[in-house]
Amino acid sequence: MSATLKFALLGALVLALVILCAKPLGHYIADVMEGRPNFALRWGARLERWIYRVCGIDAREEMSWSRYAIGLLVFNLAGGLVVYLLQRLQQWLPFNPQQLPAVSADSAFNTAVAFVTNTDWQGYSGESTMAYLTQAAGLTVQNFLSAATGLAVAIALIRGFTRRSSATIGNFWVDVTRSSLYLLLPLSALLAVALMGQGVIQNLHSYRDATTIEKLTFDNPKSDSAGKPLLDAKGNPITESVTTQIQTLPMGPVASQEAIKELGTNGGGFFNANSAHPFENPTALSNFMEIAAILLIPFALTYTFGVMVGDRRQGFALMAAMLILFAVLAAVAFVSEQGGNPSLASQGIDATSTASQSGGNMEGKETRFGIAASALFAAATTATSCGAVNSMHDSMMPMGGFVPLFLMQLGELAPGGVGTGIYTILIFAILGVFIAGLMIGRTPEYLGKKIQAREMKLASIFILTTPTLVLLGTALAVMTSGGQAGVFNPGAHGFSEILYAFTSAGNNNGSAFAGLSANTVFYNVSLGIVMWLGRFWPIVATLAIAGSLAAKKRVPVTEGTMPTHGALFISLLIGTIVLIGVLNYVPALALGPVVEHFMLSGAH
Amino acid sequence: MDIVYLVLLLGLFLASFGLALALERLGDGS
Repeated sequence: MSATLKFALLGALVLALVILCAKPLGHYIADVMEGRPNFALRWGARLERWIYRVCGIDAREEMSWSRYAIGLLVFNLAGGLVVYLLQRLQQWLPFNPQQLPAVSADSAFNTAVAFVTNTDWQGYSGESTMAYLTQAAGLTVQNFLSAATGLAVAIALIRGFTRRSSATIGNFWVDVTRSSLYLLLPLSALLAVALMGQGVIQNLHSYRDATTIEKLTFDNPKSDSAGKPLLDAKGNPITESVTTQIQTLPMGPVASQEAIKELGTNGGGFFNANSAHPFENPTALSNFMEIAAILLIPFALTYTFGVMVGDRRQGFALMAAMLILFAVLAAVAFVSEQGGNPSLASQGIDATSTASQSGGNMEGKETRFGIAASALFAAATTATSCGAVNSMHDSMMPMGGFVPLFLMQLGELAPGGVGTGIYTILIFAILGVFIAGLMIGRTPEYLGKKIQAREMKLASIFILTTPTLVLLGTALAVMTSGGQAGVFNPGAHGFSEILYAFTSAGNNNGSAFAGLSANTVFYNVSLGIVMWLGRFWPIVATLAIAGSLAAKKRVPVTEGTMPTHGALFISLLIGTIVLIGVLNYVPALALGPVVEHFMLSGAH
Repeated sequence: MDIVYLVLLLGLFLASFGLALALERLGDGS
């Protein structure tokens, strides 16, 4: 079977599975979030009521958009404090069999923000930094709650379209509780068991030593007590030569974190190698399950949207736009990687795909996955806000690496993260109908709601916040010694690494071009700020739009109303998304992956 | 050092809180 056919079949299988699941799952999400009685609400009613009673929540209380936003912000601030304190106090807390010391203050700040914002950027190495209690009670809990927060915001925005002359958009506490209790927890439990069946580990054992067949000599980088690499006067890592026949195998409650890592589009690996690690992602089947899990809820939410607004065609239109963007860019990544490196080809190295070799660019990829499954994973993880990786994006070809970078820069909406994908594409839909309205000279409408100056101001804040943070952050990093210190690959690739880091942080993705040494005070602080503002400023703007739309009356559909479910609208939506992405990022991309591509191909 | 990062976290919260308050007062400009 040719490599291209393998990629096409794998992609088609994954997409067919998630699209088949979109209808039942999307319907289920609409039911539980709107409190329409179904089997889950009946089974969980007592537990749900108990949670409300213990937390002092009045489930019948409706909130204005600003109260909803303030509740959300306070909830996430509290989550950030808990994750920070768990890291700083972990040496005195239980479930730390390796007796790992406290995480440094700057890294703890960065990680707390990363997990609260659904980014899961990891400047640290999990197996040598985080105690089991920190991983499970801090990071995994935030994996659930940050995904639930995103879903709550999406449902609140959809209510903005469905409600008429309403001052409220729902109850944040109820939305977070229901999305965690009825969606994320049961799905994660199922996936965790399935992953354990494939060999993903789940235990609280201390790390195990295995004796290897051969002796191994390697240069081991020295670290300080906080786990940061020691550098010499020139800034190079200090290493010591070590010969050993002992390999330490890290253990831990991995499967339970792995499942929500994918389903919640979080992406924070239990281990530093993330889903490339055999204890996180051991087989081709576990890899298939993980890719499908990343895409599952975001695609299903388009159906939820259709159900809630009473016109499923509206959801299908958004799904179609997401699918087209995803399929095209995933194919570009695969073609770039399978095409291989011209530098190697010019030296007579055979990089063609045959029955006995994968060909193409296998640097940074696991042989058990190959190029097709690695390229598809890279596209899935950056088309959503996941950020898990099963290959090293830094080792991709320039145009292969361009794909994850650009998918994030489009706003992670093809299909996007849990909740974030649907609310981001809805903001672009609002912008699209506004542009169309300007062209035909008619007041723009979307789903019966007039789009006016206030909504456009809020949409502009939403759309401009992230590029501003990303580009300013990148500029600051390349101009300051703190930012330059982390670059091991000066030139176009080093610039790509910095741009990727801030793009990943600003869009709450969390994947990395791993060549950048980012566990420094500069990057921990700057990326932390970008992650927080890149998450919560757009969320506040989204909730403000929800409140504004909910307060409006619904205007009747007339012959002059632009249909928002056909091919014309899908094209308009895709055009708007690509145009905004290109306008924001082309100059930066030209300095990074594009120039690197031409340098590489021009040299041969 | 902890106080520095806790204050920074609080500052980020207040920056988001402040945006919510500002947007509540944002008119439609018409």
